[in-house]
Amino acid sequence: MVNFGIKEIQKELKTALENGLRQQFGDLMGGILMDVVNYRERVEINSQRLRELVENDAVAVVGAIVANRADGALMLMIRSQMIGSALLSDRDAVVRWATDGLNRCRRVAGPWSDTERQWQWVLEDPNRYMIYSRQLKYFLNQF
Amino acid sequence: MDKRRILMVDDEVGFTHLVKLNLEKDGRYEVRIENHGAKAAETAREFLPDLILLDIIMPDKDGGEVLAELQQEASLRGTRIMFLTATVSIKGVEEHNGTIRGMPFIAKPVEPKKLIKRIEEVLKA
Repeated sequence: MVNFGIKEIQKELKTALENGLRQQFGDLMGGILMDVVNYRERVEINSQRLRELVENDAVAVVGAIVANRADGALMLMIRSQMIGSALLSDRDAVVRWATDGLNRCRRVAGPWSDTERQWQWVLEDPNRYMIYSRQLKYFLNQF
Repeated sequence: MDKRRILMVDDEVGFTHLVKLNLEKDGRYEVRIENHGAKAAETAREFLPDLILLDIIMPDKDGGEVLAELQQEASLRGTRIMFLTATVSIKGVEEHNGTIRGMPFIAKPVEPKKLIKRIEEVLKA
């Protein structure tokens, strides 16, 4: 069956990519890498634009924490910060966000409470996570 | 003149000791350290600080949760609170005029002179 709508095609390709990543790397690593695929399309690794996005998002995260929010939206922001930091090769920030994500997912209700293993995987070897994330983003940005 | 009492709540042991040393060397401050967010309210009730320097990301209780607890304490109504965090860059804090969601902020790492200047601003506000 052929889809002619761009959005449908993009969806098909994303599904194929997700299935491929999970098939190649397993559910845990494949799922973590799929989040990188979904992170800010077209933004280039190490770019000034990415740096600005990460800095602005950090202010939003801090604002949410100060407001004592503890929900899925905050977890999503923390995950985004971890990915952005990986794409900037900021290892300390990756560790900081992954540690916070791990501590926080245990206290948040809903699907994020099942993500403990994902944060642990990143913390087991932050360099591995950064290399895979950066290479994947570099590859995706070629097209 | 009585020294101003400052409570520092931050899980980074080395960093808190360094800041305490620097602030107490100035001579105007008496500094107490609390490295566990979960014990911050208890320590603050006992110490009754003029200012609390509060970290944002801590493993047992984050800065937002601690702030909510402190704001419930009648004995701490006059206590100023300033966030101290590595989460936001120095540039990020400056772009927001040192305030996020109405709370004063300062970014780590921070030079002692800048920290003292900001502490005095917050205490006088």
